[in-house]
Amino acid sequence: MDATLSAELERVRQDFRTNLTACTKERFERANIALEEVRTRFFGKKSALQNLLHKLGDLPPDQRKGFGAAVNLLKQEMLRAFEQTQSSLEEQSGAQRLEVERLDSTLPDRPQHLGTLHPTGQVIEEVIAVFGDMGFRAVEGPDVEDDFHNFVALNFPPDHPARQMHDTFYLQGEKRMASEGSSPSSEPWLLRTHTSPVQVRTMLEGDLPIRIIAPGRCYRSDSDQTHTPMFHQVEGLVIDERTHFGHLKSCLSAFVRAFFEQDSVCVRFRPSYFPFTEPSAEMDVACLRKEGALELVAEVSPRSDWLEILGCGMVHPNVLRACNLDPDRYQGFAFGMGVERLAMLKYGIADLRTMFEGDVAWLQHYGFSPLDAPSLLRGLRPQAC
Amino acid sequence: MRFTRGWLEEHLATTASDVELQECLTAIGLEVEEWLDPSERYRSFVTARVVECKPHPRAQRLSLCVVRFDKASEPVQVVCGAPNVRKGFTGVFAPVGSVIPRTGARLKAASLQGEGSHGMLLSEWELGISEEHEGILEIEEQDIGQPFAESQGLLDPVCTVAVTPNRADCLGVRGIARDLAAANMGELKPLPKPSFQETFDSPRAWRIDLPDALAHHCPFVCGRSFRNLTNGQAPRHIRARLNAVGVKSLSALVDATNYLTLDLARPLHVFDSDKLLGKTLTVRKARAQESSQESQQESSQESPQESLAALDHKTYVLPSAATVIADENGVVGIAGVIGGEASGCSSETQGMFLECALFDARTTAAVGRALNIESEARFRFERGLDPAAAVEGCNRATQLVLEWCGGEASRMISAGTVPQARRSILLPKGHVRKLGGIALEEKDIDVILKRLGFERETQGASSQKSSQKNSEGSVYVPPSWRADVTSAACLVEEVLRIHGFDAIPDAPFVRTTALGERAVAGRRKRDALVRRKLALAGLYETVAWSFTDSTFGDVFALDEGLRLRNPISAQLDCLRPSLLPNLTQTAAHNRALGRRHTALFEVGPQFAYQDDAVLQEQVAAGVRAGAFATRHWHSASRDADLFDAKADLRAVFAACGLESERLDSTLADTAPEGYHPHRCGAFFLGRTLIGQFGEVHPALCRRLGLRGRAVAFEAFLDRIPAAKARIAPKGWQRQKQQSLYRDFACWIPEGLTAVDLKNAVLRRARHRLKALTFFDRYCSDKGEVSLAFEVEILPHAERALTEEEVQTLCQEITDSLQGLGCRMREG
Repeated sequence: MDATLSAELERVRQDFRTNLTACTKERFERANIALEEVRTRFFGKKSALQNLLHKLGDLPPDQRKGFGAAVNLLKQEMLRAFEQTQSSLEEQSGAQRLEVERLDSTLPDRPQHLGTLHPTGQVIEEVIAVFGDMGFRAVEGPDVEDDFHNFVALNFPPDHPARQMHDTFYLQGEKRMASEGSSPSSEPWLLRTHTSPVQVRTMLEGDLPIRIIAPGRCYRSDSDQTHTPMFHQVEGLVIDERTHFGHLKSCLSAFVRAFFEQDSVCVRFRPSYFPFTEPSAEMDVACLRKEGALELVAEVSPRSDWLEILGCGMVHPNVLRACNLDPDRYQGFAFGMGVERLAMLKYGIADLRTMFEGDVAWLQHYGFSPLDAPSLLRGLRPQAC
Repeated sequence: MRFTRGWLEEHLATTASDVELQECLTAIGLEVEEWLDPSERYRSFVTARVVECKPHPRAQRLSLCVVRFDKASEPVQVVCGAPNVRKGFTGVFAPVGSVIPRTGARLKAASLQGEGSHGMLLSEWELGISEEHEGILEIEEQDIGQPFAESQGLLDPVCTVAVTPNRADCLGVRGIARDLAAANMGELKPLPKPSFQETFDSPRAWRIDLPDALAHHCPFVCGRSFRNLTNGQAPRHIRARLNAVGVKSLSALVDATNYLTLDLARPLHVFDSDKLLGKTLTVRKARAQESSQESQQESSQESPQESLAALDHKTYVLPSAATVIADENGVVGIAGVIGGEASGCSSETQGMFLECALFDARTTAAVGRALNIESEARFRFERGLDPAAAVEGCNRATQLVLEWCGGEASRMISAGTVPQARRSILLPKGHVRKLGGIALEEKDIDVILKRLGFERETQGASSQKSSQKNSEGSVYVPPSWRADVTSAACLVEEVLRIHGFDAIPDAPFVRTTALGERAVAGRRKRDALVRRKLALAGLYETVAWSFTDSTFGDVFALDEGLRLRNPISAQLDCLRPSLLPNLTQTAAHNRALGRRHTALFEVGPQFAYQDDAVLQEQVAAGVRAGAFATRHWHSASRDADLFDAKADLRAVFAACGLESERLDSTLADTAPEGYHPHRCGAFFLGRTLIGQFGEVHPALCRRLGLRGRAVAFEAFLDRIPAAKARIAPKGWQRQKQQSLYRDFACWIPEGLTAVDLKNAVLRRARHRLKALTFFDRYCSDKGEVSLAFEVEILPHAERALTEEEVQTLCQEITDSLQGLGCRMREG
């Protein structure tokens, strides 16, 4: 082999060694870069070795074989040395690297911004979960109603106080009535004062038997500490040929136990009056008042109070008749409860009006996690956080 | 309705304890709201005598009294401000430490203008037994140190019950006693028969002057004249009773009417007959004033309605619907509501005329409401009186007046006839069990109903038709005072409430199908998902009024039909045509409270009015104002911008089951109401607008007092087709080759939107491109905008793309960009 070529090879070898050794003396992050430079310089497309291989074609045929083998040998040797250095460098730098990669993990993580759900909607879902298990279906009706659905069909006498201006909101808009005789008549639309019109709508659909609950917004012209012009109710209706007051009692007692998640709640049914039920009752639960908070109790004691939870009763025959059902054949019960009241009771909300103010601090305090979907299987009440 | 136990016992012979009575009242539907045992309240008050009394040296109106209240202990000094205090005065003494009933204040030893006061002499007002507080209460000479209340009949417990509007009969103590007797709480005592002499013919007569069509407004009226009366005070125990239930004792005659109103639910009225003009009292409608001749000629306008200066010292102009009682001079009383001041009885009254009438409930209610007069009489008339009790009420009143005031009574006079409303109601056999779920013996049912005053029609007494009915059950006739009982269901209620709701056994109530009804489906399920999705996105759910301020009508299309006739306030005077104003207002409220990042949403109705009908649709809307997130050390904080709102909107679409990546917003031709005209966008499904978003119009923010900017979105949920239930998807195929990614950057011409660019590129090469993602936007000093994006290129199913194919595709993309007028950026 040509001596100049051998010298050339030896020069490359020395140069490579020097550079590689230099790498090992660098700090580790520099060492990696230097190592990468070495790789490019000695193994890249324009490396000295590559140049030497290009020269192969210029050599006389008898020298080509020997020189080619020598270059390859050198390349193998260099590669081995490179890999050795690389892995030893990696090994060495491991500890060093970890040392300088310190981060203060006590700095705050990236915040996850979760909103909350309003107690009103949550309580409605809880109520639906309980009644859903008893075979009730949740349905809806319009907020704007006519006199027939809100009053007439529900057996409100024409002079009932609830029909007067001071309780019911009326719209400027008027419903045109089918003209009787010559002159067409009209009456103002009204905002439903309760969810009971949904009873009427459901019965008029005539799909029997009926087991529905109807949550929704209601409106009464009333505004003070304990009344807001808008509020929510959940209405319930059961119609078939055999449901009686004994069923009403057990259904609603079961509801209260499940809703408040207390197996022994003391309830009583107290005779009352609603135009659309007969007999009518109000349901009370026994509770203790402790520093403004309420606790439901299993037994009545001299210290306990009764607290009204809902109104209920057997559907009045006049209502059935108004909804084209034969009262001699069909019967059943209806009930209605105030959602805000239930929410305040269950979750200790003191002031009704704060529920409608939309103060983010209040919503954070009383709101529910979006992951807490009420279910009887998992428990209605969300986990304490 | 308030009464005392002693009063109740006038009608009910009972040995039941207070607690038993309370429990029973509530159990039969007369909910006890309060049971006040005054013995606790009055226990510490004793009779005492003022043994010395001299003026306070430093205060004109005060006296220094030495009061002896206990024979065993030393008298104490009391500073007293009453004008009637004097030496030798016997009154009621409250020692230090006792609680004053009226004020609830605990009495402490005090120093008044330098003089010590160790107790207090009480007025009737302070004792809570009347409104009298001019002077302290003087009692008849008696031993000192005696418990005061007992001697004054004040130990009678006072009960307040809530009477439901159907039970007009229980607005009298007798009705309550009857219900209690029916529930085995004692025996109802028979009412003593009134017995008195009628010594003369009434000089005054009744006349009912109503058109036939309105005859039912007063079917019957009766009365009596009295002479030589002495209108002093009612007996002490009567006054104590009235005081105990909160009725001010005035004079014997007025007290008699008030007493009967509460005792028998029978309102009456007494006129001073010397102040009535003419020999006839007429029941008629109010009319226009009879005007003098000149004014008749002067004007063709209607003359004003008659008016009445009433006993409450107010003057009322009477609507023509009002039924009135009039003498020859004009109106002296508004039927069933209130009497006139001029014809009222006073302590000088010697001649009196007693009115006892039947007025219809609806007119009384309407007139009382129109004039805004609340009275015990109106309260009873509008719930319906017992028509059979008119004559009896008149007689009872006569007896009381003669007993309390002496004098003579005339023979009764009347006009009209007492309506007979005898109804027969069939109670079918087994109906109590069918409706009430409790099996009761027929005889038990019968006992309850009879005690309540129901009559059972026997076969012999009834017609052919009802005897036929008798074979199917029993026929009952409700008593005259129970106009509310109209059907078999009402009879069942009577039986159940007296027997006790508690006695009804629970009957299991479970679902009848193996699978529960799908309780939450359709809209409700969708709304629940939307709410949860938005809360997960960091927004807080609010519940806002369905009302808003109609002055927003200049921003949001508001039809007059949505306006309320009787709004509760000007800020809530119409149904909301959009959720935005209320949400923005709430955001402003939060910002004003210093909440630095406010993100709110609501899912609720918005309203429109069209063709005489109200259209209601469910909307999910949200507002973000202020910082998008709390500050964090790792990245700079930023305000929420419209792309946050757009992301929220997309989250809603996803919750509704829309493949929202496939949806792109457009710039609306006209900016949606309430948004910044150049920072907003809209989503369409076909031609249907399903959502809009953007910055809230700065003018609207200013108007609502919202400092800084806010962004908002609205999703019109009902316009989005219902999501289909998920079924098992098609089998999944593994993609054998990897996608390729290539970047592009170009300067875009003015007016070209990102979505136009995206669509043009995808149109050209849709079959090969899986996605196009913008990753940079740059705006040069000259205002030129450059967009950079990445495309994901799909491989063939079985092999990778060749370099040539990729080149061609990239060229196509470049061509389409240049076709839009874009200039490619180099490097």
